[in-house]
Amino acid sequence: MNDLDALLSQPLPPVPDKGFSNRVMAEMQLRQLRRERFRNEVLMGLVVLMVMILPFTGAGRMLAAPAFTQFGIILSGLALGAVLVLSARNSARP
Amino acid sequence: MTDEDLAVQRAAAGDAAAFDSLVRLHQSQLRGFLLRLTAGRHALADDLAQETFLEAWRKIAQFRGDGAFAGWLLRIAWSRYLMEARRRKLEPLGEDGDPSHDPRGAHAIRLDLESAMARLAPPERAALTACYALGFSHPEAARILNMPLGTLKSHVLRGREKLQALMQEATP
Repeated sequence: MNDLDALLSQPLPPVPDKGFSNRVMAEMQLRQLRRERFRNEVLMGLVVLMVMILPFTGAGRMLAAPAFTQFGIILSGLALGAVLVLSARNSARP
Repeated sequence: MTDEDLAVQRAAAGDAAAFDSLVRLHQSQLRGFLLRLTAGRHALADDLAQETFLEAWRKIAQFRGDGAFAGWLLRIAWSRYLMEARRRKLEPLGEDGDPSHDPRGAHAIRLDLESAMARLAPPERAALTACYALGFSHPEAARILNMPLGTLKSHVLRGREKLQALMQEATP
């Protein structure tokens, strides 16, 4: 092994962290938060779209009839509650 | 199973703290590699290193553990570097390195090496760094740099020859 090989084989000089890792982790969390927000917004948009369109479809009328019974109202309330709880949990996640 | 293997497993399961420990463990080597590829452009090297880690976090579940985790990171870094070089249409990125940069204020001979390195083509620079400074075998380095083994060997050979000539030129 000659001098050049020895020089090339020296390990790369260490690069001090100086907050680099913290910046990476902060950016990672920020991007994850953005992705989750975007996903939630798309889901909300789809729900709103369905609510707007469903009453004008045959399937919507079929769903609406049993919804006005006592059991239907309870079931709808539970479903709406579940959606709200899940949505709140997703929003609260860091 | 090493601590690193465990951290990789936990990170693949979504544990951000485990990934944080991997970032801290590998940041120096990764940034050093990119610093050499970008001929000492600290800001660019750090941007590329950050994007590398973010991509690694997104894809960590795809890491099969059939090689070193450091090698997998370097592979992402190399492809990020090539993308950036294409985007900036710099041919090759790094040859017009920032003249004000101080390659880590090291010993004069290392300074000579770094400035001679900056005059090599990026694949030669990457191949020499992976094989010599980072100690990867030729097949491992070929996989990291996504090139056939023969191509890697010729980059190492050609880079080494060029480097020898450049260093001799610089010696009074």
